Amino acid sequence: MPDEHDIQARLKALRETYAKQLPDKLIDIARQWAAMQRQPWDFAQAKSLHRQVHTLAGSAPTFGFDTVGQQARHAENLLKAWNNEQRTPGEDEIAGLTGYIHSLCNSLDSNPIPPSAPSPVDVVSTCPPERRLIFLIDNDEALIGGLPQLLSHFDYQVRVFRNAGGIDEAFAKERPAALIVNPGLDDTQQGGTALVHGLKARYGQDLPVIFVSTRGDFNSRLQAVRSGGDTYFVKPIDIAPLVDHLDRVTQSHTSEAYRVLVVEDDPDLAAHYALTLRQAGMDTTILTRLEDILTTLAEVRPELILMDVYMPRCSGLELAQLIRQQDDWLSIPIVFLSSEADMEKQFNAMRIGGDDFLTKPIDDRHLVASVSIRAERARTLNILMVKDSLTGLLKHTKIKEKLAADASRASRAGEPLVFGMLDIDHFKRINDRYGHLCGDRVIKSLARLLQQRLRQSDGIGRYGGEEFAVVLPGCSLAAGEQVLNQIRAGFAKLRFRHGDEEFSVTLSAGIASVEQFRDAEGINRAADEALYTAKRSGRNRVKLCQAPAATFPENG
Amino acid sequence: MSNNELQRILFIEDEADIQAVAQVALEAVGGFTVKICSSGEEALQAGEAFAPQLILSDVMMPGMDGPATLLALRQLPTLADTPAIFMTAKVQPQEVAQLRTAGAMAVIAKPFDPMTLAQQIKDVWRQHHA
Repeated sequence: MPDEHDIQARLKALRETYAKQLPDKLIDIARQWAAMQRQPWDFAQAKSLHRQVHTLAGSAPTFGFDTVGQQARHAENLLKAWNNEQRTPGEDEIAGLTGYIHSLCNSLDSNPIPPSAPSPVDVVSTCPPERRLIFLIDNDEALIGGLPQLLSHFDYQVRVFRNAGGIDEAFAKERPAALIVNPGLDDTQQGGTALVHGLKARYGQDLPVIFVSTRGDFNSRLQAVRSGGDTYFVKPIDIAPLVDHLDRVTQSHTSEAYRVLVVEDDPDLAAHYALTLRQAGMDTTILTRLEDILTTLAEVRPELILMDVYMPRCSGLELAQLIRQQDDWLSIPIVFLSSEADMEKQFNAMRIGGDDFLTKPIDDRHLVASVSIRAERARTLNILMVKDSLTGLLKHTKIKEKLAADASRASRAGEPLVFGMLDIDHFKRINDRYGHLCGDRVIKSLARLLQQRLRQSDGIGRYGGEEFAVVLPGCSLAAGEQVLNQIRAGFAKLRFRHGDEEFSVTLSAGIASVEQFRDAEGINRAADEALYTAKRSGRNRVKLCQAPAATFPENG
Repeated sequence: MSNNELQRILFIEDEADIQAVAQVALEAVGGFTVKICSSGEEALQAGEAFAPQLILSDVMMPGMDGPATLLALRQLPTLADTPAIFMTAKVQPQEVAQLRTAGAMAVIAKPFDPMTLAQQIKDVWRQHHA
């Protein structure tokens, strides 16, 4: 039996994992509640929300989040009463629940948890979005007048300083994510670089600095490099590459957890491997029924499979071959686990499709290292294979796969999901008039806007030339409309520059929900038709599929 | 029940977080052998083969809820008499009474303390077999 210290360490790790996921859970609840208020009362959704706050009330205090638990309990009691009595709540009661859900989100602030990524919740709920703070240090009125507004569309908040005064005080209040500085501040051509030099010495060399200057000569650039600038832009500034760079330097380093599927017939061992990997920050799923392998693969979309060689029903080698017969899973790394120490058999396993062979009993650190190194490499390769090279979004087939997987999961769980198709209006004219490079910039800007505005769990794909697709799990049709309308409006406000000419571009979108169609194909077709309707009725708008909600059989 | 020492627990819970913390609480702290099922359906598949001495189940789950799961498990010959405990965040007296009517010998409130959960279960077990 493990000692007290080990138990405490495991509990601490579980707490940390929970703490990391909690913000997303709360945001999800807030988002659902916001979406529910925008449409007629829906008992199915109320039931789903009830279940979620109930779960939260039970789990949060276990992990030390007592306030979250209390607020969730209050919210639960209201929802329970409404659901039990099968009635639509009155205005006061709705306000009451909004209050509890608001406190739920706020109760996180009192707990030391890193804020989560910006999400569509910022447009539909009471939770404020996370805006990254930028200090702009320049006395160029033209830049000061336009840049803060432009960057705000990408969730950056800009504080302007016309000179070095007050910057230290501002730093004391809140450290910015990056600085944008004119090196020629004070007309000395060096005021800005000297300022940056001092700021970096005081606040850390890792502070990202972007220089913006009217001068593009070698000496000015060299000065900027020497004072620690990360990059250098010559005015007039093109917003797309600037945002591109800001995104990169302000990106938080927390990447998504590796998804690992554990295939092991011994439930205790399976749970042990899963726990060990989970403690190392990975997302694990245990396959319990071998028959479910293909559906589980489609749903979990693991990045690595950890598999026992000897299982009663079929051997791991056979199962690996079965998996490799699917084109989609040709390249997934499979790590075999076995007490088999016979080299011949190990080689055999590897020839059939195993990428590594670990011998039981395996040391936990060895397991974590083997799995994470292979998962990391697989992810890097996968990015090259599944991501569109221009935008970094999912390729056509991959976003369709995501829709299929998420839609089947959502319809089974009785949860909402929205699929949207977006198309840039009159894109051909932009290409014809300003050239393909300029057209590419427009496409990249929209891609970035989508990435900024949507959550990590949402899917964003480049569907075709100027066509995009988004999958929004947990989002109702009304909330999806609101999110896409915000994106549409934000995109229309972007100013693009070609030579001396400035122009803006609009987009049209069509959306459909899983509540209207059971299968991915139906949703896909309906969103496409809604997009066509948006185009026909004048462009620069979001159209909803008008089909009625399909009736689902009650779960279970 | 030939042997009175509690060893094998079938644990049914849909939340991965709770599964993980309960696993530590039951296996590491309590020294039990635990089979975790993420749904009632899964419990029905795996329950008999595991031959638990105790069924420990969440109440509110998507799909089959705790009482429905217990009812279905009771249809299986080897689990017809296996004692059961519900775990739930609902602790109002009339709800506890309902759950007991559904066939549970006890109801343990969530949130639970991972360091004392096993002891709580052992206490219930001892009373039940007293």
